[in-house]
Amino acid sequence: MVRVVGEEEEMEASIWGRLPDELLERVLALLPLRALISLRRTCRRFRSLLLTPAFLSLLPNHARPRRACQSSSSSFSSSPRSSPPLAPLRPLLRSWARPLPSLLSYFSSERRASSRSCSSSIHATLHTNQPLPAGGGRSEQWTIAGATLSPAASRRPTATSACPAQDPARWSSSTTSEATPAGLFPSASSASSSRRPATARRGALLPRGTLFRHHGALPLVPSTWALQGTWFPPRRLSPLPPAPRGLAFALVGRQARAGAGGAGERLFLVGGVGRDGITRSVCVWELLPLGGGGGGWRWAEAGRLPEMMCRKLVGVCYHNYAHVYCAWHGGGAAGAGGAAVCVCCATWPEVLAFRVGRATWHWLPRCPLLRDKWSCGFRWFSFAPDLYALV
Amino acid sequence: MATTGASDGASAAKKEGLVTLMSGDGEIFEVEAAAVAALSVTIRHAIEEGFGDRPIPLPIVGARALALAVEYCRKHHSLGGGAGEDSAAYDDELRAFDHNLAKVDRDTLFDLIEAANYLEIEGLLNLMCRTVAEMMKGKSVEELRRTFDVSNDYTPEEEEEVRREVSWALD
Repeated sequence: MVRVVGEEEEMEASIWGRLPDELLERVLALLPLRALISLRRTCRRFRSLLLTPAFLSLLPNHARPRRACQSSSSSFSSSPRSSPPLAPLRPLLRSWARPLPSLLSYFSSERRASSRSCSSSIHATLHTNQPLPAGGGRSEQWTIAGATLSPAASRRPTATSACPAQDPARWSSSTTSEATPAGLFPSASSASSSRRPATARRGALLPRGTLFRHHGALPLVPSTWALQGTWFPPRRLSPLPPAPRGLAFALVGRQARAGAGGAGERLFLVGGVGRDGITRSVCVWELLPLGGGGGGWRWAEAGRLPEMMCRKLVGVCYHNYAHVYCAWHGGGAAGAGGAAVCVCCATWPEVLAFRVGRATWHWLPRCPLLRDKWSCGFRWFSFAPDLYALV
Repeated sequence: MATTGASDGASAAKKEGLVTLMSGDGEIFEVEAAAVAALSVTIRHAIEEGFGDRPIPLPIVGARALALAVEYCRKHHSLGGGAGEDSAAYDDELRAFDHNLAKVDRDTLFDLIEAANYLEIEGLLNLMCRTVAEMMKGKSVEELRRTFDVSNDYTPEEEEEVRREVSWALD
């Protein structure tokens, strides 16, 4: 085992605080419980850092499915030395007792913190025991990637001025032009000598003006961005195809990296089709390779929400999709059986799930890790009373 | 590193199976493609992207860190076949190599973490993170503040609250 570098090494004026958050999280996740507790007392940054979903997902006691992509990665999550750390915190510490206390604040702070306007997306990895109808009751992984492309958002000035402003639902290709093989630079602007290139750490602008942020499940961040241009399609630098026409809102859900080099990654787009921001129907598209070996990509319609469910969704949202986001539900270790694209909102008692394997839609009980948020005493009863009733 | 062949021109005649890396400070490394590609996802992708015949620029990786990372890849590729720590191939020699690698000074350690992250060498990143975590262990709150160069930005009330929260564990 690795020994201390040298006891005589004085660490005043230290450099460790300059590590990017995602690397710092990796280091901190290896610390024993006592050190983490001391760390909470040092300053606000660490207190909040220790509560991010990304950090929680790094902790070994979450029984994550081991990533198959790198055989050398197993030492991190399976090290017996680091297995005990946080279990006792849960019942005793108020802030850890709720599994994801800061999820919602994480969303909003992420929006505020970003210097780019229009960044309305989050990535988080949650762990849940919520079974899908045909899934097992085991711990599963949720990956959330939300992006709203509402017309209101698109009218705000964005950093990606290359986009045609008249078409709000058009995907920007500026990311790819920024990351084409001019070099493996995190981005054109961050090639300076700065230790923490902001763009590289924060992610990349993928769909127009939307900031996607990598998280703990993909800890090796900057070069992934730089090299691939986008995290999807993997290892291709081709731009994303334009979004389907007439989108009133769009949410992006992504399957976590499954195989080596991102093979098996799937990207789904859930969108409302309509005019003037009024959704008439809701569809889900999957990004698939274009036929003919051209290397391009297209959005293939995977399913359409039945009309009654669509009316319910639109009625609940009231044409405001700012708080709605999209999550990929992996469906357990075996994968495909219960895999679903879920549309969630903090105020909903259920999530809308599209089961990819069967192309069917369901209202499912909400993920228990999503915090309830009721405003002014107003609260939704179940959208699908036949599931269960709140009396 | 002594074994790293540094040449001063990318236009040197290409030998089969070699790939050229250029560190952020402009130093050129010619390394075996198989060894680095087996351990570094970034390099592997770069080679797949067609960087095989020109230098791969690695702007945020310094020459010293790159030399160490390349050495790590080479060693692990030849001895362990890139296998993880709990595999049988991870023998004593490799363990000793890791142990020695972790003895670098603090600045190099920092650079190595960033380099491993950028190059996506999972094993090296884990090794370095563990090394840093070892250094953090057993530190008091004040020492941790110094270690991370942060100042106490809690209000007295908040500090009391945090202290109360964790008092069960520290008493």
